[in-house]
This record gives sequence, structure tokens and C-alpha cells, in this order.
Amino acid sequence: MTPMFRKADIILIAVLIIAGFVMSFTLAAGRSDGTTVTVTRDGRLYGTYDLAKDQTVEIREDGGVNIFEIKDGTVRMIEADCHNKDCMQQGVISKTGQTIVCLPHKLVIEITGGEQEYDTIT
Amino acid sequence: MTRSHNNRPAGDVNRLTAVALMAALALIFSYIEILIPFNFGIPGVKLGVANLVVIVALYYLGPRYAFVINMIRVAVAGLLFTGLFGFCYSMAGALLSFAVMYLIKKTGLFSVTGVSVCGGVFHNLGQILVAAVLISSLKIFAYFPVLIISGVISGTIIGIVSYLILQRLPKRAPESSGR
Repeated sequence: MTPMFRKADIILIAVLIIAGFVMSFTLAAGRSDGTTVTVTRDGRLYGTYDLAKDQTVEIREDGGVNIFEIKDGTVRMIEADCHNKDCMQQGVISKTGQTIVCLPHKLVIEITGGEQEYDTIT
Repeated sequence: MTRSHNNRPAGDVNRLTAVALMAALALIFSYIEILIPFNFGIPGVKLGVANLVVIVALYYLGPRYAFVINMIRVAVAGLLFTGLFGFCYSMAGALLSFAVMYLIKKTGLFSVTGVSVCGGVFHNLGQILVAAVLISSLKIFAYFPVLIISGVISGTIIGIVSYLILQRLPKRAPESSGR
């Protein structure tokens, strides 16, 4: 049996960790405060909302409910009736390109606008 | 003298029993992970304890057995716990990670830890691909860097544990001949 770690394993782990950090820094770099909240449902545009205006938006579709809150230029999912509530765990977003995703309801809330809007992956 | 029906080679029964036992174990691990999610508040992050069984089977019984065990686990977990969408996610994760683990093991360059790390990372990639298809948006790939790192960490833990288990198992698997 081979040892617990071989040279190739160490290199593999190092490369993957570095790739992960480089990708996340590239995604985070050049992000400015956004201006608009864009909601996409099932790949189609659902609506756009002004990030500067405090409001609570309820999305009720096919029996699924999501409620998100725009407050002081940030967006947060405050209510969801799916079983895992992953979207509520995704926290607060405010920078261009950041997203909150609700998988069961096929919902993507994205911050758009702002100065630089490049996203290396999408 | 010819061999009769009820006089099958003992190896067949042993292998069947080993597969059934390990599939049941993998299923229990899947269930435990649903009961106690180790996600640290980050959606999609998990330890992948069930992969422990798959890796041990991959090394101890061979790829065919490991594959069957993995498929039984995903199918039964889909029926019992996760539902149709959960099944799609776990199937994609399981197929991609198994294919990559098999190939990585075949190169002969990596130990069980490297194989497990690749399994963890590609499991996450498989799930994110399904998620992107289901929501018809590539935005979800913004989570990929986090899931690479979490895949490496959980893969390393599972790899080390697999290594320790494999060392303690008897040298020869029950009549499995590693097929």
C-alpha cells in the first residue's frame, strides 16, 4: 500500500487550494457597489429593483415564496418556504456580481450596475 | 462431477454480501449527513462521509464493486430521503467524482488521499453543473471557488480516514480478486 501522502497528492492539494483562492480573489476584485437588483427566475428576467430604495419584495410563483429585503444598499433573503433555506444562509450582498441563489425555486438575485461590471466566470 | 446449482462458489456469496453490507453502510452515512449537515453555514459544503465507503470499496473490492455500491446508495437515498432533485444532484456528483477517482487511481501517481481529494472536488463540480442547468443560469459558478476549497478539505479528511481503514483491513478481500 502506498503512503498516506505522496508527492503528487501534496502538489494536487496545493494546486487546487491555490486555484480556489485565486478564483475567489479574481471574482471579488474590481467589485464596486451595485445600483440595481436583478431577479431572474428559471433563466428569465423576473424584475429589477433599485438598490438605493429600501423595500421588501415578495416573489410568489408556483406555490413557492421568497421574500428579500433591500436595505441601505444591501440585499438579504428574509423568507423562503423551501426545505433547506440555503438562500437565507447566503447572507447579505451589495457588490456588483454578487448573487443569492435559491435552487428549489430556480431564483437568482444578482446585484448589477455600478462602475466595473466584469465577471470572470459568467 | 459437475457443479450443481446450490453448490455455487463461496466467492460469489461473499462478494454479494460485501456489496450489500457496504451499500447499506454508505446509505447510513448519507442519512447521517442529512441529519447532521457539516456545512458550517455555507450551502453546498459537506463532508461526504459516504464517499469513505466508496473509496474503501474502490481499493479493497475493485472499481466495479465500488461503482455498484455508489449507485445503490444514490438510488436508495433518492427514494428514501432526497427526492427527485436531490437524486439529480447526488447522481451527478457521484458519477463525476467516481469517474475522476477511478482515472486518478489508474494513473498510479496518487495515494488514496489524492484520489479522495479529486472525488470531493469533482463531486462538488458535478452538483454545481446540475444546479446551473436547473436554474438556467451560470451565476451559480461564483460558488465554485468555495466548493473547490471545501472539496479539498473534506476530501483530505476522508482520504486520511480511508487510508487508516484500508491499513486495518485484512490483506485479502473475501475472494473478490479485485475485479
